[in-house]
Amino acid sequence: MAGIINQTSKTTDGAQTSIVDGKQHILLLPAWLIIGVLLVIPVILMLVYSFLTQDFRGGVIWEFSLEAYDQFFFDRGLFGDEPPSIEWTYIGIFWRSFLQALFAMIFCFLIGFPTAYFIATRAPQSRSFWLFLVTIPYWVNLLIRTVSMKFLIRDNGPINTWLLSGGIIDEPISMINTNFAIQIGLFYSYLPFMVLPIYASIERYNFALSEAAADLYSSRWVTLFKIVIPSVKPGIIAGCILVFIPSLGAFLAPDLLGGAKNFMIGSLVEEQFKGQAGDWPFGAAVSMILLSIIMVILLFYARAQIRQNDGGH
Amino acid sequence: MDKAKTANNNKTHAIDILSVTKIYPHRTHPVTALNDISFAIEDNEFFTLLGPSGCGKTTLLRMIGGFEGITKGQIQLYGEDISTLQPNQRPINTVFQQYALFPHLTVFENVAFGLKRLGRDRAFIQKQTEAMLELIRMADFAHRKPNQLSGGQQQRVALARALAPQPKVLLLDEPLSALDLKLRQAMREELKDIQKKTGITFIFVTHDQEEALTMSDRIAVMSNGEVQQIGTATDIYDHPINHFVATFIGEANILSASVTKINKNSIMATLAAGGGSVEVATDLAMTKGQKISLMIRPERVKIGKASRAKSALSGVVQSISYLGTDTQLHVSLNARQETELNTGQSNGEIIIARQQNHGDGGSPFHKGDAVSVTIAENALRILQD
Ligand SMILES: Nc1ncnc2c1ncn2[C@@H]1O[C@H](COP(=O)(O)OP(=O)(O)O)[C@@H](O)[C@H]1O
Ligand SMILES: [Mg+2]
Repeated sequence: MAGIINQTSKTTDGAQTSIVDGKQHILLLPAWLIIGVLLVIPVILMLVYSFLTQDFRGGVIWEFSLEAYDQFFFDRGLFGDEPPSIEWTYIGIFWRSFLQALFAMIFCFLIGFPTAYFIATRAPQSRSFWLFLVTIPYWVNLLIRTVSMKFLIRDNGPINTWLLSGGIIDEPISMINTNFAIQIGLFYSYLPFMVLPIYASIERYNFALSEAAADLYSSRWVTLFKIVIPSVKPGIIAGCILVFIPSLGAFLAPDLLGGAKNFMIGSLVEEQFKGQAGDWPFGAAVSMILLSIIMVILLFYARAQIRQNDGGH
Repeated sequence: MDKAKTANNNKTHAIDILSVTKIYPHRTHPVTALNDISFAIEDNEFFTLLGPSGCGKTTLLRMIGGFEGITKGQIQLYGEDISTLQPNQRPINTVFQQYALFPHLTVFENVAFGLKRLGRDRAFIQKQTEAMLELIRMADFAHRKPNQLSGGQQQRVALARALAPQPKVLLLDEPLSALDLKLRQAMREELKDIQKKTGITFIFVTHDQEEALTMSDRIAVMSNGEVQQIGTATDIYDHPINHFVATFIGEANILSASVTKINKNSIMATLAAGGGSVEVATDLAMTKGQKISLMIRPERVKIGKASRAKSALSGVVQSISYLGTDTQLHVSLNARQETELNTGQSNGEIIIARQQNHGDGGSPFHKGDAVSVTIAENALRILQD
């Protein structure tokens, strides 16, 4: 998260780093170790696994195979002997996940932007209090929060009970095991990832620009859309990425709140590594495909960013 | 200020400030930024608010622009009360202190911004924006972003952006303070020139007296949330009404004296230091024996060779500083001559004198010289304090 936010902030003075040139490599060692052990090695491992053969007792057989990717994209009939046609099952899951993540991102933005704006426009000494409130739910583990959400929205949960007793509804609204439930779960899980980078951007925003816009005959809405939002765009994009990407691969919310028929990518991957029935190469292949899609999205983002920084055109 | 009060109902004023008070609320320390001020700004005038930092200049400007509420009083624009209008409802534009150019828009888009919001047609926007860029000599930079411009260029774009919608009044809050000296001096001329060309009323805020004196048609000198004096540059420099104005604008010698004789349009007074008797023109009501403060500008104090002439004051040169165009002398005044106690003993009161240099090696005087001090006729002003 920090990396994406920092892209938009000023880089530190380059002169300082050259002074410590010699010692720098030693000092960087922990960072390289962490990136290597926790990032590079696991990704390479998954990449390798995705090209191996499935062992039906779980795990892999060390034998090169494209079977996992073939299974993802092509349907060769029940016995694998028919001419290949496109396999829509997994592409469908990707598409549904994509839509879920997109909507989660939009809802997080619609609520997160005003929240961030509100916090950034409080008196400086009370801002940290509001930020603190936003982060409170994060003291509790994601799994526990998601289970609690399931309890809250189920048919005989507190929300339905309250609505029924208040006479607002006649029968419980079934929220559990719907796309709506997944949206609630994703929204609740990732909202702070939208709020924090936007807050950081708005806090740096020069409010004299809003006054200048008002001075030049802009209403509040025009000022918001023509001046404020374009000025804090880097924070908005960072927030959107930080919500969209984990939502795309999320499995807790879809699993616990969405039920079996609202399968998403995260659950699909999880299934492949669970117990004896799993297919490790296939799970690895799905992960690699997801990773590639995310990389492409980030690449577009980076290119847009560079083009904007060039400016003048 | 009496003038302003009687002129309230005159519709030809660009701006009327009517008994305006501003208090910034605070739980424990509310700040009175402006204390019941009233004055009028004429149509087509280059009007300057001058005063030290914190005297309320920005507050007043922001109230005229609509960015700050009015605690008490009223502000009128050409006779109409605008006190409750939002900034975007006032035909008044602002050049902000830090320019506040829109960073994501080009120079052209910045300048065209106000016209677009006013819903002018495309051809007019294009024409007017180009004319403004021409006016500030920035036509070649139309497609740059603000961060690709120098400070002086950004300054000019901010000016063009505020002028483009042809406001009735233009507000400028210390627009030159971020520029270096050379550029600042060049911009003074340019601003003055643009004001004359466009015929728009300018209200200009500065804490720099030189800026105020060189550019303004009229100046309001402010301190502590109050207007001390309003007048042309020469009014304010030559006829400061009080201690604050006299010392804030240029350098001033303040001498205490007591009134000895009252004439028709003048008084006679005796200086506490040196004891010389002086005549001062005034139409203020005075009484005999009244203690008064007299002001004289250093360039109107003449220093000569020591003489025994009774009319002159005498003193000893304490220091000499060469300032290029002038030489400045600090002379300590001697005790009164009449008492024959002229032992060269200073009584502590210092008078500052300035002599123009003529390129012949500076002042003929040296530190420690006994000198005579002559005050030019009509050079003394009575300060009301
Ligand atoms: N938003 C504000 N809240 C409280 N006090 C303020 C605020 N703005 C200005 N002041 C106070 O009002 C007084 C006048 O300020 P200002 O108008 O900015 O003066 P100037 O522009 O002449 O330097 C100062 O004492 C300042 O501290
Ligand atoms: Mg100010």
